[in-house]
Amino acid sequence: MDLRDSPEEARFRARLRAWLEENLPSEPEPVVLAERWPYMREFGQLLYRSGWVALSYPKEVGGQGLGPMEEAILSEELGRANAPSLLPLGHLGRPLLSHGTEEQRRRYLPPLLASDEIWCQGFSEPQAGSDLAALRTRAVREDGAWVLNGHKTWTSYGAFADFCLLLARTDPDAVRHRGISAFIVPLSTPGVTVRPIVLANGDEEFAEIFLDDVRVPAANLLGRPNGGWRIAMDVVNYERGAVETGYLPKFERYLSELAAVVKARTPGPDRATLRALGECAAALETLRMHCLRTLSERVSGAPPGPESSVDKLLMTAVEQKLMALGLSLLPDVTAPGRAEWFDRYLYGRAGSIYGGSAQIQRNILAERLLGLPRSPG
Amino acid sequence: MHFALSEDQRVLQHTADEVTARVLADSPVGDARTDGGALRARLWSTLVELDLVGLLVPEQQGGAGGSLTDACVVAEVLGRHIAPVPYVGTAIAAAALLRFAGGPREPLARLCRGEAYSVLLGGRLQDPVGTATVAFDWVEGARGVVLSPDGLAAVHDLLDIDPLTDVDPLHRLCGVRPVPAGAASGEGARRARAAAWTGAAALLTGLADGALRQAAGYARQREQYDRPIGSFQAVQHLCADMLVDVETSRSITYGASWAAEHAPIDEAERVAAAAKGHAGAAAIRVCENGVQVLGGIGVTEEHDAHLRLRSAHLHNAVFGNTDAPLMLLAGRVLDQA
Repeated sequence: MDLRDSPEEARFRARLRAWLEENLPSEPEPVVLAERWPYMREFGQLLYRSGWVALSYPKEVGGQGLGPMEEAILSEELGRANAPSLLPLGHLGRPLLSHGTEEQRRRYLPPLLASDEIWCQGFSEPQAGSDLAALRTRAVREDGAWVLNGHKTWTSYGAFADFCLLLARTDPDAVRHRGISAFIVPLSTPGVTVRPIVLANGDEEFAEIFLDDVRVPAANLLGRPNGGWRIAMDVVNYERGAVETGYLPKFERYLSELAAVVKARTPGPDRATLRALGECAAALETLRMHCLRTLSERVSGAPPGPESSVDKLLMTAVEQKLMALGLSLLPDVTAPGRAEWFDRYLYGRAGSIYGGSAQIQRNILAERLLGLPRSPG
Repeated sequence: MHFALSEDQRVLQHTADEVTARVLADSPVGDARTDGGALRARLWSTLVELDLVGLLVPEQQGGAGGSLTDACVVAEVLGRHIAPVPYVGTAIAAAALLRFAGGPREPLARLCRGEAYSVLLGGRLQDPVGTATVAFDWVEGARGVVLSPDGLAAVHDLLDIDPLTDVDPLHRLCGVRPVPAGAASGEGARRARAAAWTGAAALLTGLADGALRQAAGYARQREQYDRPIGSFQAVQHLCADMLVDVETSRSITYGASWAAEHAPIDEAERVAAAAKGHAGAAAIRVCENGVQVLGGIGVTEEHDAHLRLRSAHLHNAVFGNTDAPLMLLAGRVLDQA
């Protein structure tokens, strides 16, 4: 155990902190996604051009060649500086890095990491949500190309994306997860229709993607034919971490906003309010330490495994706790910020559904980590 | 930054686990309720021989010169076994006061040789301000360690001793003639309090981990409706929630074990407060769920699940419950807003 920065880490932190002081946008982060998106993307592009994101990706694909601990420092400093949210798509570079060919990595990773090209994740389908292996989108080999037909849904940022990492069934006779492949699908390909889904808070963060005879070159297969399940599991394991998604600094910003609300309301908050605030602070500190532990385990280069479900459940719990406090602090229907917190609260309800529902995470922990017998069908 | 136990700490963990299991193999922890202190004394002297009681005591004072993380490794193991020894009150809280908050030096050398020192608390087991009236982790003949009003640690002979019957029969409390006590305002005293919070969090993490192992093991074996109950999602999800509580308690507790000793005092307190706040509530939840998974046997006197739950309540209550740490955290967040 040594939570001190090494000399290199300390230099990195100092440079980053100085940079953030100079370069944070002066405008606050817009509430509505349609305005927030270009704002976040622009900040992401600026961070990348200045060398502050894609830290733990190798230099040859446009990363900084640093380690997981620098990612942790980035998270901490963004939180401390009240920086804008990161595009929560950092994890989508991971499958390209570990399963992509040399050519795929060179072509796709640098613009992805730079937020110049936006990616989305085409996993869920109307009939395949928690039971992802039931997916029905088909890909058929035809004259050196793959022809895709099907329907994806709950695709985060689908309406903003240029590319989709898409799962499709390539062997209809194979058992469920064994017959699935992963594809790189440019969303500009003829036959692709993207339709936004309006969330309860009004944001068009999700989308449906319809695929009608969409032809992609054979070179757009990612990994081995019928090897898509492993890639999907890698993606979701990364997606379940609060550093990879940039959620840790976002939650820290929420907590300081809530503290400001408490302070503005009364000079002497009651005990219940203080307790609730303290609980949120404790939960966030726990998340921070848990992330440090997770990232330290990753220093050896090992990808995250089923234990990432702990991270995901913790991250969701912290978010929902913050939202509950937000609501309880703004009972006055004329109070400024009440509607905004309610929208955040609604969004927070999605946290225990996307990326594998909280119930699926518990199944994974029970069966994979605790060795409990599989539940019947 | 690196967050992981060292190779030496893994060995320490293994050793502590092995010796505790060996002593408890002869007499189960429940015996400690009625054996006049024999089991407690036997296990304590084993820990003393292995230098595990003096981990927080510097080598020049006769201790093992270990870290708070080392002590937390041992506390977690002892919690897992529900070991009936005064580790948190003596080897962590009292030792931390004597080490960090100044005062007399020679008691530290005695403490690591196995002499009994109990930390003194208020009537609700909070850090005492004004007077201290209860010895936590008390054993016969113990002397009391407290933060005196002058800001230094002080050792008192305990008078009017009145052993209390409270929720946890394995870790004893004793009413004592009031001694003067001060609030932790100096840096050393604050660091000692952070160490105490963290040590309690480590023991709580161990209690919870033991409950989880017991519940998961039982759920794999016990059959109803012709299959193991662990194959039912209702039971699986209880166990999964326990696992999340255990692993997150471990993360914040070991983070605090480093911070409380090495970080600047404000950060030390913040992380330690989070550890106590989180691990205390988590351990009670986990031990309750453990009883639930065990079913009827879990609520009997003969099974040790209630001893675990009792011990979780006591160690959650000491050093100001979850209240004191959460109030500290709230204050910090408001100061920065």
